[in-house]
Amino acid sequence: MTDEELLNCVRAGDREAFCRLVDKYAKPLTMMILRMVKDREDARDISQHVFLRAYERLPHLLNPSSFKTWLYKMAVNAVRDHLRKPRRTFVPDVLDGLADPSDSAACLLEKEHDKRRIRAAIQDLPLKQRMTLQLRVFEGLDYEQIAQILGGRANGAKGNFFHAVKSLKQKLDTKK
Amino acid sequence: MRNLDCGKAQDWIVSNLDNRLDCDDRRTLERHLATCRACRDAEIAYQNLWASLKGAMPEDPGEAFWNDYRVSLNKKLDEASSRRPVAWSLRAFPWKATAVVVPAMVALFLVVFLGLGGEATRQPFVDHAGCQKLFQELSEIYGPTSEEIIPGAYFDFVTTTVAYSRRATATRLLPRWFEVEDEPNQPYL
Repeated sequence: MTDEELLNCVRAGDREAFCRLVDKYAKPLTMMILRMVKDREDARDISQHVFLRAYERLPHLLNPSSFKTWLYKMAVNAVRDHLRKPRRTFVPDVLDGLADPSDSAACLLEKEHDKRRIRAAIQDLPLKQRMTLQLRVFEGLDYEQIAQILGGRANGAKGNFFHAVKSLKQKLDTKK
Repeated sequence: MRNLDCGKAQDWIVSNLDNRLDCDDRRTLERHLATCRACRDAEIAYQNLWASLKGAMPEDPGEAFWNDYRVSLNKKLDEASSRRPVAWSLRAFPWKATAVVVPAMVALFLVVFLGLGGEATRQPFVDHAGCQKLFQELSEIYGPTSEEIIPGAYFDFVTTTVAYSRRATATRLLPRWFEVEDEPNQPYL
């Protein structure tokens, strides 16, 4: 069933149809949030909050074919709100668990060092560039969808993406 | 054949990594890279960066996380449903469309079926003799009458409109109804 058909079922009172939408989008949406907030518990809370709001606000969704963009837009706004709050405690980085057990110790150290540099460089980007980069590289969204989610136009999203990639390269080149 | 400057080439390198370069542009870029050492180095740097970005994805939290996610979300959805079941169904109702359609239907019903659009205030002629008498009286009061407008226009206080049909005979018009508008307390009949 398409999103549109499932949404019609939800509007007719079918909760199971909403659960199917959750099954479809929960993982990619939560992973996107996780990449941005870097904490599993926070990512889970934000993601669930987004689905609850979506459930409550579905009657106001005028164009059911844009459900995915609508959902991501709510998620990005929730992440922005979350990131504006001051950090309460130290948050361990989720990227810390990426080590491949087959690698040698030196190789692991080098990889870990590279990852830290990349994470730091991404973290230094302006929020909009960082979100554009993540939506394009990790979520595979096109510039039109990114513009709908973050606001602005497709060309602006493309510009943000290019700036982000070039800034990253520049930062990583200078830090070597 | 198109020449490519190094600034443009670096944009195209990023577009190419993003799979957004068409075949012709890709060939142009490849030709430029074959002759430009600096851009070739930049391409390698971008490729490494791209691979690092792709590799920097956080690992999947695991099945236990997702099971817990579903259970706790279902619980929250249950709470949300039980908290406002009526509100949900009310909100699902298409109020905007209803606000437009219902008044339009009511207005249509009033005009078509109850005839409140003006016809009901018009006085029907019940017989031809009565009609003739009316016209005579109106002529005596207001002067000669035209075919359609009895000359209320000549008087400030009254306007009389008469509608005709050809039902009576093929050649002669028969008034069907008339309406008279006047200022209050101005007797005209």
